[in-house]
Amino acid sequence: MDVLQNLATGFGAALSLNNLGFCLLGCLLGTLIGVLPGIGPIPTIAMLLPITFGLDPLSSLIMLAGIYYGAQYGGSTTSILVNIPGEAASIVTTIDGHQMAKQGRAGAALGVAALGSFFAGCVGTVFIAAFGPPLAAIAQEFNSPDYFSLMVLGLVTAVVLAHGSVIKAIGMVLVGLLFGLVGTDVNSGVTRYTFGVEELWDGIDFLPMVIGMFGIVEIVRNLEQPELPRTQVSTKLRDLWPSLQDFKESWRAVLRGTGLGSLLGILPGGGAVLAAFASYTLEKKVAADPSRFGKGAIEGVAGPESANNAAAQTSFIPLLTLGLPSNAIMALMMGAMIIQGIQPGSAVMTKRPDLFWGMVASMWIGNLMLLIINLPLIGIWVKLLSVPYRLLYPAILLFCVIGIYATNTNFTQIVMTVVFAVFGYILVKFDCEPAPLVLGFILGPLMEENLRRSLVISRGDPIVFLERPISATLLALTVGIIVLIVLPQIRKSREAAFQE
Amino acid sequence: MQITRKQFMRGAGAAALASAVGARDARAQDYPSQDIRFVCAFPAGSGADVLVRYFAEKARPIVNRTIIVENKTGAGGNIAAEYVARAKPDGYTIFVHAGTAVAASQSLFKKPPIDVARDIRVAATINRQPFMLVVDAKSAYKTVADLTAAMKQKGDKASYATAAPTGRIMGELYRLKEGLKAVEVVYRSAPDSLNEILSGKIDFGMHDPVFSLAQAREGRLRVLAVSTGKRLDAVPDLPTMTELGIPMDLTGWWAAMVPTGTPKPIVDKIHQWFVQMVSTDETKKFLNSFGGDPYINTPEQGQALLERDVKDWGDYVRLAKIEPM
Amino acid sequence: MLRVRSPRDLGAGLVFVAIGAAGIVFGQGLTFGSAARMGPGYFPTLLSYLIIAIGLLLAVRSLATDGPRIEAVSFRPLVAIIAAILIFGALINRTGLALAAALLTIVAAYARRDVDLKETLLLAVGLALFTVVVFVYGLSQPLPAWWGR
Repeated sequence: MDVLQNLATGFGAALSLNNLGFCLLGCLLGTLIGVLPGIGPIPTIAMLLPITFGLDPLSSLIMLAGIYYGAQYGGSTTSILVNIPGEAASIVTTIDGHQMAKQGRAGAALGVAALGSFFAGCVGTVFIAAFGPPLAAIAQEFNSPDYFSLMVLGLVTAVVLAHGSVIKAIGMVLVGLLFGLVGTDVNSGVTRYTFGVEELWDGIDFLPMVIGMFGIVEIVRNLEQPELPRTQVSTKLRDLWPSLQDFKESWRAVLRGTGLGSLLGILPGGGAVLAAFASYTLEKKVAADPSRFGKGAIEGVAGPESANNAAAQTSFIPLLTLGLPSNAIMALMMGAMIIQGIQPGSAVMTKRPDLFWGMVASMWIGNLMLLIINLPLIGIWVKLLSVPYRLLYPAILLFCVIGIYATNTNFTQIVMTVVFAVFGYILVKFDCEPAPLVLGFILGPLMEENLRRSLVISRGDPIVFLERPISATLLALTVGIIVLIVLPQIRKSREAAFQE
Repeated sequence: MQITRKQFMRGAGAAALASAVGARDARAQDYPSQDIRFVCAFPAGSGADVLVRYFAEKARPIVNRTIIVENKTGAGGNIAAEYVARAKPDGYTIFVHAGTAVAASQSLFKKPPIDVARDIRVAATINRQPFMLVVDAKSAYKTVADLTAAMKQKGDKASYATAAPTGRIMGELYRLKEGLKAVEVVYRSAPDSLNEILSGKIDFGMHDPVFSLAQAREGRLRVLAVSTGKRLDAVPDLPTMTELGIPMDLTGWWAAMVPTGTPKPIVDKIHQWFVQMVSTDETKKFLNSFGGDPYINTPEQGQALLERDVKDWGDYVRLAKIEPM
Repeated sequence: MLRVRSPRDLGAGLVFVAIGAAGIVFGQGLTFGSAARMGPGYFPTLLSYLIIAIGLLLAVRSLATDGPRIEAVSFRPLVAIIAAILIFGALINRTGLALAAALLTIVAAYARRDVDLKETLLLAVGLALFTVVVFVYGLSQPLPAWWGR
């Protein structure tokens, strides 16, 4: 079959000693940098871009891609170990992953994350190889009304995310939405809620907000306890590795997450983030005992991690097949390709099949390498956790702050981090969870932008949201999920009323 | 002979002056003795950032020092502009940015970040590039005239996409000259508008050359015209809007800029580096792929360009009725 | 006499009401528009009202349902960590990364009680060296390593 032949060519190119070396280098660098809280894949790739100028195109792309996935894997590690998401998609992993770490099950969490991601990566690669162009064609069908409905769906799932009070979760999503609107309004060009501060014209920066609300609050809370956290670290292999029970509980989540991620990754915008959040929601909904979520449910790690890695793979599809970058990292890859003299797009597949298939093959190789790199590292990370907290937390704090400042050397960034740390602290004292707020923050502005744009194009006619098949389907799904959420609540309160 | 106090002071003053001048010259002579920073106004990973990093990389062997790219993002480039204007004028802070954007900032904002004429100097220009009028490749419009006729028919049911101030102005100038009633739909970035152009909801777009050319190569969009006053070597077959009866000269140009007060020898040195880089075939190819031509000007010519653009953009902003932020 | 049965809910409710109110007050200058042609003020205003509504709902609920007490706020860790971060941000450009990192470490250490100064100083020096090597030399981040540029 054609695909197999192409893959053979690809593997031939990717398995050269040189390219294997670059793949390894990229994966290592990516992992190490991904583990540093604050510095994510984008600044890393941008930083290392010049190194690739001298290499030949395939090698440089392989290395950059390696950095990308490496950073994803590394980002999951910090989410689990220290409750600091490496990047947006790992936020969900903090919810149950960090709880597992606190219970001494860090090894299991890391292991499941790595294995799930590997599986998802393999599937993602197959997707690209076999279904690249048709999948891209679907993504091209999305117009503004469809994006709007997708965002609405995403926001509703945010409410399901919460393991506490639903009302508070809704409130947090709405607050996140409001925060997301700070900045310049695309449709009219005016600035909203910027108080004359220039640095806010492009909106509140994601990194300071997330690190402030998740990372710093975590540190302060730990320091508040009468005794500093001491994770029981056992050297038994059993605790460094997912148990058979863990596998049994999580393999279905991995499958579902992979499916979700592969599909959502193709869509420009928040593909990987949406995938991770959606997977968490799905797992919580189908679980036999949803109350476990938020307290260390392994499906809460397995599903989202697989989802975000699958999305990371398939997000290459629009770039490689259509020449359209679906997120900032892909835009960077596109820049790298252009510098190498390659025009990304469908021409690449036909005119330079060795490049296209070589990249696809190296994606799989990269995932394998990352698995091999990360599994032994689990032991090291777990040992690291046993460093006395009083020595650990200043280091974590320092890396976070450096990461934030290095990305944008402005004192305002530091101030923002502090503001959100205090805000997050207050919220936690009142039992409000930050995760729904972040999702609202990411999806909200996109939702509003597409809503208003759809109405401008349709000249004010709202029927457009139901006319388009994609939009109508997504809205129907949303209604369905709302019903699923509300029904148990109604039943619960009816039972309570009954008992009285 | 007794040296009077006055003579002593005068002598000392002269010596001090001489050493100061000499020191400046000496500084210019051993420039660069430290790492140099290229300031980029856009975030790591954006198209602009790629351009800045490309030049940082190419400059390294010529300059023989590490070049650090510093991203000072925000407010459409204002934050970076302010940072550069306040930096020490010693040649170690170089702003690689669109000269047009710096010029436009004087009119686009109620409180412009810097006073261009006073605070910043062009050391070297890098490229010049157009904005482009694009339509769906599947559509029947083969020329701007075709499009204009159809848009006149469609009246206010027509829509067009823009994603940047230059695009908005280009669109406005076209509308005004031809008396169109098309409605503008603003997007965050050009790729966001692609799906809607292809599904027919949007009739045409005024977009940056990187996007336009990439999509034209893919066969999805057709470029009908460019916004510069004269045709470009990079895309010699594309007519200018001016040729087609819609006079305009919206030429985007990138430059290396330094804070005012940077000594002339240093400015000239920076100028030489960029001339060297921009003159290579490799850079020419690189710039062409972004739809632009290499553009070489003396620092004085570059500065004149900047001042001319300040005036032009004042007119444009008024014409397009863009509300200063 | 109304008794607050769930202080955390009341706290959350007040926070939401405050945010919603701020949203309305600071969004006054924005054009509202209509449902068909939404102005920049449409969404934010709507959201703000919804947030206030949720806040009020929670406040009412706090009087009706029981909930746990609010945990005591210990100011020392919060203030120390925040001070450490701000000091770093203020000084990094002037004193360079090494010193700023060391200072952050030391101030952050005082978030605890019974701090061993010697150990803290060692940690500070160690982290300062490590971060300078990794971030400035290894990753060429635009951070000054020491005094000066």
